Amino acid sequence: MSIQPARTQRPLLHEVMAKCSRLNIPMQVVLELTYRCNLRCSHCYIDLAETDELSFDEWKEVLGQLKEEGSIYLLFTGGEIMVRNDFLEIATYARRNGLLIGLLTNCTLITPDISRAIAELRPFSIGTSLYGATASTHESVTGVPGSFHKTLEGIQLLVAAGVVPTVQTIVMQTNVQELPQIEELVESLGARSDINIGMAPSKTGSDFPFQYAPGVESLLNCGWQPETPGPTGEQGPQLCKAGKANCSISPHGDVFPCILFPMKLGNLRESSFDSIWRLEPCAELRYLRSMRRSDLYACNGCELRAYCQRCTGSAYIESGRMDGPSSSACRQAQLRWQLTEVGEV
Amino acid sequence: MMGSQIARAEDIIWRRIEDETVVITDDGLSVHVLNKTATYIWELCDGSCGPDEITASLCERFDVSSEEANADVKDIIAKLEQMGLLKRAAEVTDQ
Repeated sequence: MSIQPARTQRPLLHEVMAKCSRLNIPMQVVLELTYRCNLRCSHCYIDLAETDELSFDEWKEVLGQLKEEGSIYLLFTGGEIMVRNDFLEIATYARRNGLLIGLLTNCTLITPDISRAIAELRPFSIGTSLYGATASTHESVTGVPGSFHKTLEGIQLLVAAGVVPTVQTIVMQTNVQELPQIEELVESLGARSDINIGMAPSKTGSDFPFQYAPGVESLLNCGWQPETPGPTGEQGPQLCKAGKANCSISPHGDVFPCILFPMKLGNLRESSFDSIWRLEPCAELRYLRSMRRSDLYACNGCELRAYCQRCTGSAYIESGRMDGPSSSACRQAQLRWQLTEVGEV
Repeated sequence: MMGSQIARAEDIIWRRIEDETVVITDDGLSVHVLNKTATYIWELCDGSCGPDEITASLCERFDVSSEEANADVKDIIAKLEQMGLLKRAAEVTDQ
């Protein structure tokens, strides 16, 4: 009989995720409540406009199906989730029905009441974005005057309510000289700063976001050093859990392997989740689940594979094949190698 | 006759995955994995059973003596209570 009835450690989460991945249990699901947004960020990967959004009642049905399939962590994102008047109702319904929630928001629409309501949901994470240490830099990206101060106020309201947001900054040409100041500003607000060089192609496959990425020289000379720019291991990155333990659902119910992987698997207005995911998975999903590292025909011999954080969804967008090369991952691997070997520009 | 019933703590998220159970605290950050025996006991801790009923059920389900089952039930419940995952329901008096 049992000697060790329960194992308790944070790394266990990774073990559980690996098991869910092996069993195709959608443990982590990203729910895109809307593509509408009150900001106009220049590099935003969402270049779609959907208006036929799932209603609150439809989301309730979807949430019930996800719980039945074993989902645990839900990440609500947009667009801007708070342009939906019922976003708190949806999140509260999910929480009360045994699902853990995280939120991605630009924080501009947060009020004291909303911040308290979010705190009561006990989110496992809340993320927001800041593109500069000054209003002029931030708003040159968001395109909306006043958005800098609104975002800072929203962050402060969350912190005051006991929620510590993670403030993400994508490194861009416009903010590359302000990165240490951004970190200082975020820390002074009581939040966590997460600066990264990862930029994704758009949902429709356009590479326009990359025109805003900084060059290597400006990164080397900006006074900021990524915490973990180095090798990801001799074997390179492992295949992700997209389509196995992870999936995403669009505002009108399309199911995808991941938010960055625009390979439609089905629609929840036409089929149930278990039909799309488990009972009748399409051929593409079956191939994704069977893929091994050795299938990455363009990557296995690459000298930079130890620096690579290849995204299968980006590879699908950029090469048309989920087992193909990702041009953006290749560029970023080159960048990481150069940042690691400072001076080798 | 008095009986002390056992219930799962409120706001605990849990999912059965094969023959194990994943239990997550409501902040989403603490993860516990229960083995097969603990999972069997966990699923009986719905507020309607006490240790005696759980022991009897365990003997029926697994080929173990009542002494061994009783020791396991006591040990596992104590550990899960210590972790804050189980609680004693209000004492119930049988008529």
